[in-house]
Amino acid sequence: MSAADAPVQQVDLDVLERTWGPRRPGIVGWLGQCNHKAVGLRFIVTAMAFFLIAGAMALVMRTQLAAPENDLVSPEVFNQLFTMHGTLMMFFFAVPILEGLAIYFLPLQLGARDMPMPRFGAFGYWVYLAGGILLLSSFFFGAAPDGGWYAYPPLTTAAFSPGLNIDLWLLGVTLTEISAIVAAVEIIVLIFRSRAPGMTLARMPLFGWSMLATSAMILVAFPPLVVTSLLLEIERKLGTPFFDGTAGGDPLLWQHLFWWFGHPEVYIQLLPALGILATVIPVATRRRLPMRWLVVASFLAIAIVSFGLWVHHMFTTGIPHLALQFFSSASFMIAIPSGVIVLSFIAAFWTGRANFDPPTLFAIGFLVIFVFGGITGVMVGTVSFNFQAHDTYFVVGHFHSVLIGGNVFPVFAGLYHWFPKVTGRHVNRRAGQASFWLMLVGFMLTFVPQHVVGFLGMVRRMWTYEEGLGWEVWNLASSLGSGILGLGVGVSVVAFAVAWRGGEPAGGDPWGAPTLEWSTASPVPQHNFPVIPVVASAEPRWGPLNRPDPVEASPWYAALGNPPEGQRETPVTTPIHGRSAAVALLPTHSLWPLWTTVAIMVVLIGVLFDLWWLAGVGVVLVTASLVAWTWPAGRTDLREADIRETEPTPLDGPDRGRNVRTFRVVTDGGRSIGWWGTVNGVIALGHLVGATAVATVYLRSRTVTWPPTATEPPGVTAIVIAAGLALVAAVSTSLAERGTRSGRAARPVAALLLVLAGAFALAGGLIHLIVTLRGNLPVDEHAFWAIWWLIGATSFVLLVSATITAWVTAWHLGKRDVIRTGHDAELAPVRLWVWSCAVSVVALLAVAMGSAVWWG
Amino acid sequence: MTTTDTARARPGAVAITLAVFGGTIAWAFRFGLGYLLVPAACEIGDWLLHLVTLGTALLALAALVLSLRWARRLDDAPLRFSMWFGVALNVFFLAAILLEGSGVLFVDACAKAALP
Repeated sequence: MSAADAPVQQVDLDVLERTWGPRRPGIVGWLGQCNHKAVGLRFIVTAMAFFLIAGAMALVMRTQLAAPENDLVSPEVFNQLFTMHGTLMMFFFAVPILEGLAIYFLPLQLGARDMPMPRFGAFGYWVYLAGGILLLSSFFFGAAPDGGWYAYPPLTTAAFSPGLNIDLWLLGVTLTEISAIVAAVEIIVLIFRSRAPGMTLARMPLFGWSMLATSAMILVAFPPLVVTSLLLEIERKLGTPFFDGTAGGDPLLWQHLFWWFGHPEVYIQLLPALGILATVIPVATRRRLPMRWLVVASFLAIAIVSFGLWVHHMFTTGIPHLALQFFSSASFMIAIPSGVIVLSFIAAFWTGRANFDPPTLFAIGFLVIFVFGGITGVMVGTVSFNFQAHDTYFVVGHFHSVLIGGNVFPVFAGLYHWFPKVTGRHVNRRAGQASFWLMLVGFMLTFVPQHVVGFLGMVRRMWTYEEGLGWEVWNLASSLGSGILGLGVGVSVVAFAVAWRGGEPAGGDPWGAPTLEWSTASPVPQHNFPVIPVVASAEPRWGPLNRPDPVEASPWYAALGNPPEGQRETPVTTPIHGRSAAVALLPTHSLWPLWTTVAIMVVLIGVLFDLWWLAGVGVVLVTASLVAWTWPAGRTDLREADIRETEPTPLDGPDRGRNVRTFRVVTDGGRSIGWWGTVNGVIALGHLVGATAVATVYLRSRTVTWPPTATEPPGVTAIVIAAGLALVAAVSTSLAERGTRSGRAARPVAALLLVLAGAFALAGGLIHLIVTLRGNLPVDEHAFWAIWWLIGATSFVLLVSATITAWVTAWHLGKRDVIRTGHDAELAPVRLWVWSCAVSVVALLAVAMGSAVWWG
Repeated sequence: MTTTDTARARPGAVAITLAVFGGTIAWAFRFGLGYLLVPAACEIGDWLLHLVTLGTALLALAALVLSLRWARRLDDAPLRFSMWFGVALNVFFLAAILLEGSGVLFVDACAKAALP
């Protein structure tokens, strides 16, 4: 029965709105909002603010370079400007704004009520904001970072960059990386478990596919940057010589770990942008995107090959030429899937009926600029050319073509496309068109001359230049162009601001678009959809089965009956076929993600100013906030219904009507949201541990004296025992989980097993702490001792986290409403996490000992 | 087993993963091993790298044949969709393996240089 045949009662809509809306009025309610629309919009607005700040810095730099021998700003300030410009654009704008767009619109495109872990998403935003505040606060301390956006040591070590500058950069960037990992985990779980019934992976919108590839890349690429940032911060604070070539370290370790993140980062910024264009272009051309499955394959190919390019930033560091050739070939190969996507977009324009609305124009702008940047990318991917152009303005021109063409223009296309959905109002069409032309002309005038002046020998990051080098006219043109580009951005910002309040009403679907977000009202109500949509094609609003509206009540969900007011239920579907599987309960809005972030800031302020007691207080606050955050909610209505699946044939294929299944509110094991979130968290942890292991092996391979003395590291036997205790803790959680799931173990027995698991893990952690602190390791003398210390400290942190997880869950077991006998929704993730911590501890120990024994 | 039975037989998760991502995995091995073995190739000869290229190219080719076969035969639409983009990925990564491997024919494994 379609929604049109059975209109939803207003009273039901009111209940839904109250259930999904903020719990409290006023500023407290606003701060505590965890709804995906609130979090997504905050990401978008904050990222745009950072974009404008970073853009203003660019204008100051271009003014400085407009004429030779200019002294508008000092060399020191210029260093700070290019560092902050690059950092804000790369870490605080380009990725976060795409995360914001995904967090806002992907649940709507997939037909979900909310993100699957809303509090986690809110935490991601607050951490991102905290990172930005930390970075920008450097101006107030007179200590803005000045080591470049990729912060190469030894320039950024304490010896050459004393003061807080680099510390603020490292901690601010680490926070935004953590935020990105949080968003990636959430988006992956959303895509695999929260799609509308009937939305198979093959029918998923291309924006979803691009975000899936991007999120997977973030889980692999960002943890190594977190590791290397922490290594540098530890080196700055404790003198550990990880990057000191005279004491067993190597500055190239930073470059390898940074660019392992840094090159995929370019595609992390590109792929979601391509997904946005794959959303905008079918609407603009009134036809489905040609070669859809090939575009999906291209997204995946780009995501994978992008990890084979990192050395193309290190061609001039002395790596053997044959190895460089492998990276050069990979750089050429990535042009193929990129070209497939571009050709698909061109084919849509060629065969469709394009309009010239602002989203369309920005999509065309992408095609022009990105192809230009792609071609110069193939040039700098060639080893011989790269040796000539390395660190010149040619490279500056190239990467701005890729980033502005591949990120900024698609983002603006998306903003113009989705603005009516967010506000219910249209942006002025002429203002959008004027903004586009100003930005396109401004871009060309700014960056084409930079390629030329690069050929003429101007290197990047120059504060000023002498007269008579033939660079004047190109720099003047570039500076004028940047002003026009800035004006174009300004026109859009004003147009958005004016339209927010006074734009023409847009209605639910002003574009006649094919995806689900246009099936609900504009602005979107708190609950997203009156009833959960059912999907039968890749373009639900254009498909013959769903025309004109795909919104249809799922019979199985109707059979469960309405939830009580305040109980936030969302359907869980199967990962591949999108079949209805169960119903999950989502937590309510909360301030705890914010308090947790504040507590983390207390830790960081303590570390920054060497107030270690304050850092200790912060750690206690973080722990307390996390426990309060995960505290179980009150009584819930755990309904069940045995029903015959009766969804339409196109959705379930030949199985229609065959299965009688029990649908439950509350999910178990592999179906639970928590389990899926933990799996992704474990993947990120694996890459954190993997990056630490790679750093150890790399330093070992570059150092003859490893270990520096024949003496055995202190406390080896105790550490081996600690690793054994960690494994015993893991086994205890397995026993607790299996007993609870099968119903064999009484609840007190399971709780006791978890308490024991926590105790074993804590004992192991304390052994690591004692050995690390009392061993008097000469951590500042050789990288081997620094690595040994690092692995001890990491093991302590991992095992304490395992302890807290086990003990909090043991406490939850005492609440019958939260963990029912025969269900393992909470115990399965705990088992997974404790096992991961234990295995990580064993693996790190094995790598450290192996580096000393097997190769020594 | 009849043709219809073959068409309806659903491959297991491992087989699906290998068919779709076999070429990708082979490329990752060739890339990683190739990078790590360049110093060894400088010592003992280029044949080491040719061997890696040949082995991984054969793996990618096998994945391509498998994904193409299943893309034509499977009934399940989402699986068929997966197999078709598996075909695209396997073709792409096979080409990548051959392109990268061919460089060994032209570049000296012992050559290196750095900008001062």
